[in-house]
Amino acid sequence: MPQIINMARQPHLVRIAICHRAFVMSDAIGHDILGMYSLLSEMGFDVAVLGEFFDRSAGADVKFIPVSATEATLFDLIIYHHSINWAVGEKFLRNVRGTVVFRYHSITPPAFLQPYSTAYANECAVGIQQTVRLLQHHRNWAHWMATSHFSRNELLTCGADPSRVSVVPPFTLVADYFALGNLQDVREVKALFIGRFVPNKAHRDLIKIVHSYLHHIDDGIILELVGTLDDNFRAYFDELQGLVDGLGIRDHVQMKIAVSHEDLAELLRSSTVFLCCSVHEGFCVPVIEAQAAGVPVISVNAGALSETLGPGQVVCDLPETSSDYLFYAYVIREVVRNLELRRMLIANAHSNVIRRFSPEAVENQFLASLLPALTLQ
Amino acid sequence: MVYILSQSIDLQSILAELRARARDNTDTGSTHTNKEMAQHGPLSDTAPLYYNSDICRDPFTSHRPILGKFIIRLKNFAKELLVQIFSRQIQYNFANAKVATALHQKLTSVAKNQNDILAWRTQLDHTQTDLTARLDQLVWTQTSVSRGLSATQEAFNKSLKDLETRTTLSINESLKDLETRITVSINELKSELRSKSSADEIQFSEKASATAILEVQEQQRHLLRQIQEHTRMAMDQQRRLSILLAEVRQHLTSTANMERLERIASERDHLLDSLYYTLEERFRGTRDDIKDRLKVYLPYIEALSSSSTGMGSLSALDIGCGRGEFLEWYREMGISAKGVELNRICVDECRKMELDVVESEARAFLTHQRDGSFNAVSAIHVVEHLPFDELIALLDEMLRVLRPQGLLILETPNPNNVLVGSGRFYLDPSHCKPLPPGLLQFLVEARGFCNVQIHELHPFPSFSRVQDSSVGQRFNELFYGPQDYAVLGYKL
Repeated sequence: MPQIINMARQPHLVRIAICHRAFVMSDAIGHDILGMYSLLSEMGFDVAVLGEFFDRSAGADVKFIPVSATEATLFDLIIYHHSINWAVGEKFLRNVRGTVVFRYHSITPPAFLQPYSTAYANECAVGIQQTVRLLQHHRNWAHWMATSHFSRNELLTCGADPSRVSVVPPFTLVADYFALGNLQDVREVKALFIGRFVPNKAHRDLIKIVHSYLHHIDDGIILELVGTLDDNFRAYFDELQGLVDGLGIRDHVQMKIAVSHEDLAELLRSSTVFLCCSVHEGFCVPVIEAQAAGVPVISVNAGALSETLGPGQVVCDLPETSSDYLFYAYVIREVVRNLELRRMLIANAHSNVIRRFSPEAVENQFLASLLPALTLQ
Repeated sequence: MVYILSQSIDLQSILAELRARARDNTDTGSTHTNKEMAQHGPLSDTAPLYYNSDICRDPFTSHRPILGKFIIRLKNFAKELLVQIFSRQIQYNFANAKVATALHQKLTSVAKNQNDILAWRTQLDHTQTDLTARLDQLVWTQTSVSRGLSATQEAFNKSLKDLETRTTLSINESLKDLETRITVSINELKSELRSKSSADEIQFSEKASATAILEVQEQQRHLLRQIQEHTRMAMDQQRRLSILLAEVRQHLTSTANMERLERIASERDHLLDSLYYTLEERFRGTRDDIKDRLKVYLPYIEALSSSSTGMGSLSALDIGCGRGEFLEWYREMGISAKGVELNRICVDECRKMELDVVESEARAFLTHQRDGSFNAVSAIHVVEHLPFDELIALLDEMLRVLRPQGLLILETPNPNNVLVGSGRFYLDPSHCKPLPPGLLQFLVEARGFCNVQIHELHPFPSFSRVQDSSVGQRFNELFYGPQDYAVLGYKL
């Protein structure tokens, strides 16, 4: 049984480790880890990041310790980020003496990935199994932080104790994207989607929506698909390219891989709408980035999307028929041309981000969830 | 289903209206969409393949009112069970669509290329026909020109032949006429010559004798002129000497004042010794440079030993010895040598090197030497410091103190080099005036030396010369030729 930390009696700084297999600055988990690290360091804790891979672009200020190092087990508190199968991490947790708080990032159901990468789908399946094992092994003393109610429900499905699971939004860089938004009359629609090129992001539906727009409304639409590409899903990416060519809309669809933070900000500033048809999202950071940037979001109701977007936003059913794709096309046109509707969507979006996902709001929720784990029971 | 999340604007109404419109426009379902794409899509032939590749897209329906829901659930259950197979089928359908699209594109491209090739072929045929016609035209033109040229050539050859014939005849006639006239003239001349030959011989010998006599008379007059000149010069010198002695007696009142004046004058002369020493160091060269340049005279000095018992018996004098470079050479050759120098710093330096140097003015030293005291007297870069009369007096004293067959060596800057004569000569402010080589040679000969030679020394390095051409050669001679020259003379 791990030690309970009595902060009043600790003769030294409380040592906190934030643990994840890889720490890279190009994804949402990396930003979440960095946000925790910065907050806890400012509060005076001795913080380090434990893992196997470390992105040097995070800067020299982040203290990184390989998870295999001896000192890695000597931390008082471990914040363990669980997002995929990590055998080394599970073994590490068996040897730690400090308190463990789990940070759960929703694992993609393997069924979405199976047609393109059996290996990756297996990793997800094993990751889900590992979630069950971690919940069982640390059932009596570990606390879990889920990024949304949707991912909390996933944990409950895996057997988590509801009293030990809280919802804490992830740390993000939304503050970098704040903008008032474009309320001018727009002639050409620039639709944007930011997300990894993986099947569960449903890029096909986005392409079909644009195809429907071109054939039923006018030629004034460009779809920009931006995200990282894993080699395991090269076939999926090629299929998307083939679909675009097959539908004859190459001039209206652009796909960009590995865009920098500055370029993302510029893309958001210049976009008219943010489209999202993901069929599975544990939180979906890009939609709140779009909200912060004043870009109206048109989203499907899947995963945690409606929860993340908050009230007063356009959230519709998953498109299945050609009628649904045309409906989405009409919604895009309406959001672009109806300035009153557009203004309302942007105002609600800003309110949602400021109230729930601003850096201060997230810090408060994070500390509220974390501190009980540090106090005497 | 649409979720209404705000009441500020009635989203539900807006979206419901949009939904209805979309349904109306696609009430025929996927077929209608395909028909639209067939009318508008650029790749409409293959668009349906893509659009319908996802066989799991459309939801199941049933027209049965009661059992319909159960049937739909059963179908959906079966779909879940067969999802693995359906997903593979979807992938296959998609790949198929991709292949079909690629083939379609390829075929379109091939057809386009074929059309282009046919068009080029037609164009080539036209071009070929055109070229054939032009070629025929050229051939005809060439034939016409060839005929014309042949006719012209024949006419030209004929005219040339006629001209040649006429010219030959004319020349032959003229030659014959000329030959006849020459023969007549020669005969006439011969007869005339026979009558005049004896008289001409006498006249010729008389003329030759007269010429010789005139030459002898001319030489005689030249010699007389020279004798007169020498006489005049001797009388002039005597007159000057008398005036000088009278002046000296007139101005000298006591021995003490004279000594004081000499001391004062002597001290004044040495005020700039260190400046001159530094100037010599700067502009003439280092000790090693000077010693190296003096090597050119060593063969002439060595040649003096052939007329004596050996080097050890020779004695030499170096006037204006400076830092003693020439005295060092004399010492290395085993010749007893003395130096005369006015600059006290140089004198001190020479004495430190145990060289025999006297601090004195040159003429003053020489007047105290006996006749025939030295085998060689040298004055390196001295004569250009002297006014003309002092130079003459110095030359006389040098001649006096030399032994018979003794050697005089004078080295001075060469004003025939434009750079020296117009600039470098004046780097030494104590220089008086440049002495052209011809003038110095003349003066040395005039004061009684014989076998006087001029040796040009120290030209500018070859890399400073301009390109060798007729103008360049002259330029190089004037600007980059010898910077110094030496006059060597012997006492009879």
